[in-house]
Amino acid sequence: MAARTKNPTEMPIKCRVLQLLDEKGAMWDYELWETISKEYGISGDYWKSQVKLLLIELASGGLTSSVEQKVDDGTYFGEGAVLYKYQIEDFGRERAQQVCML
Amino acid sequence: MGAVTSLAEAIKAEQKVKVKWGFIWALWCAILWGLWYIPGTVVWYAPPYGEWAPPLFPGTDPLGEFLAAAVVITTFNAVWVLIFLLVWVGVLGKFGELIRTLRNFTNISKWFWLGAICGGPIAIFGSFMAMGIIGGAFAAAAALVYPVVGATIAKLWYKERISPRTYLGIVLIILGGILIFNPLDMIAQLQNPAAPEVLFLGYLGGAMAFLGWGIEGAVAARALDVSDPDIGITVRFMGEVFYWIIIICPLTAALFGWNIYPLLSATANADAQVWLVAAGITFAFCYVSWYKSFPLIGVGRGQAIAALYGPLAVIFVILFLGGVPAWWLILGVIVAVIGTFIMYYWEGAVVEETTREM
Repeated sequence: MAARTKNPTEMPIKCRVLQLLDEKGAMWDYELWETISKEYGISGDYWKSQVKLLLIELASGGLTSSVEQKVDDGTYFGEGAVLYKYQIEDFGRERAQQVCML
Repeated sequence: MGAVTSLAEAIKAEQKVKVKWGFIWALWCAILWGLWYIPGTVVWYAPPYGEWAPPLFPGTDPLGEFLAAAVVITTFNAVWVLIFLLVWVGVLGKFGELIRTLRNFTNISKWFWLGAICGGPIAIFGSFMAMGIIGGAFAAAAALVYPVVGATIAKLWYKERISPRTYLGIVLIILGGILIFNPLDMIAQLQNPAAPEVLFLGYLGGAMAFLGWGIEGAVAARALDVSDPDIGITVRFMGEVFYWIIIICPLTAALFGWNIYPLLSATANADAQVWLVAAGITFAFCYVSWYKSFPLIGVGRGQAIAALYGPLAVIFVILFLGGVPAWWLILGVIVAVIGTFIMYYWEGAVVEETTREM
């Protein structure tokens, strides 16, 4: 995918997530949250859960898939939560090209 | 949850919560979708529409008057849906994402706007036509056929593989559709000299409902994949409101001389608006719940459970509006819903993994 010249935060969050996964390879959901929250200036439990849900949506749509899971010891999303490491799928790349114009 | 929760236990616990909420959202969608047909039908009995007897305005063209009424009602429906969705987006604090999605109009939002053409001026407009002439139960039942259209497009356009189970579902849905439309009764009704001139528009509207929604789903899907669902629906209804207010209302008034503007102001009365607000709120949150259920239980299960709106609408019509629909309609609804479940429900059995089996 060609690098975007536009400011990444002008993209809808899901497009940015796909771009990050494409450029940096597989990432844990808390790593994605760290980057996304800084770039989009969001914080707090509400947005944390919104971003986690959005990552689940991308995976359930087949755009990404989870390659590794572990249990949160309370550091990231809450004790006992499942942490997922996501990678982008070909279908996700295709959609990112067609729709996000990445 | 102890600190030493095993990974398998944690996944199972999370999965349970996901599936529970997925079913709750899908069921909410079915209930609200079914309820929408009540205000959508009753508004046709509110002033100024309720005071009409065919021909609606004596001395004028009944077809034009009926279609103008359907345009005005669908316009108000779209406006109220959009208002409730904007409130919803505001409550969720997602205006930033809405602006980002709109800004990327040429690549993202255009798909929602394309979908909105099929969803609004075809499917919702057709549903209101069917509700106005034939009734809420028929309008609801007719739309049950939409998965057949969606599957046909998926096959032709996206080259998706269609499994034997899906074919069985399609056959049952078509069978249900034939029972619902009942061509024999339809022809008899249409040939009845006492039938209102606009009767054929009711049946046409029923067909428009399933065609439009079937196409909308296929078109909007690609943009929805990379959008926040709450935002996607809102952008879609912005498109629909634009079509009605900026294009269709002025154009039909100018080209066909329909009484759009007198009707718009005549409809701005409390009696009619109460029902239009009720239609707007049920429709807005039916869409919201629908899209919320998909990632949690999968598009297939989400759609199958949402199809329960059909029997629910029939029950609501019997409860609130009185009168039991014809037996073939009830049988058709049951057959079509069974077909939808066969087609969708067992798709993507491994819900925790990818739910797209396409």
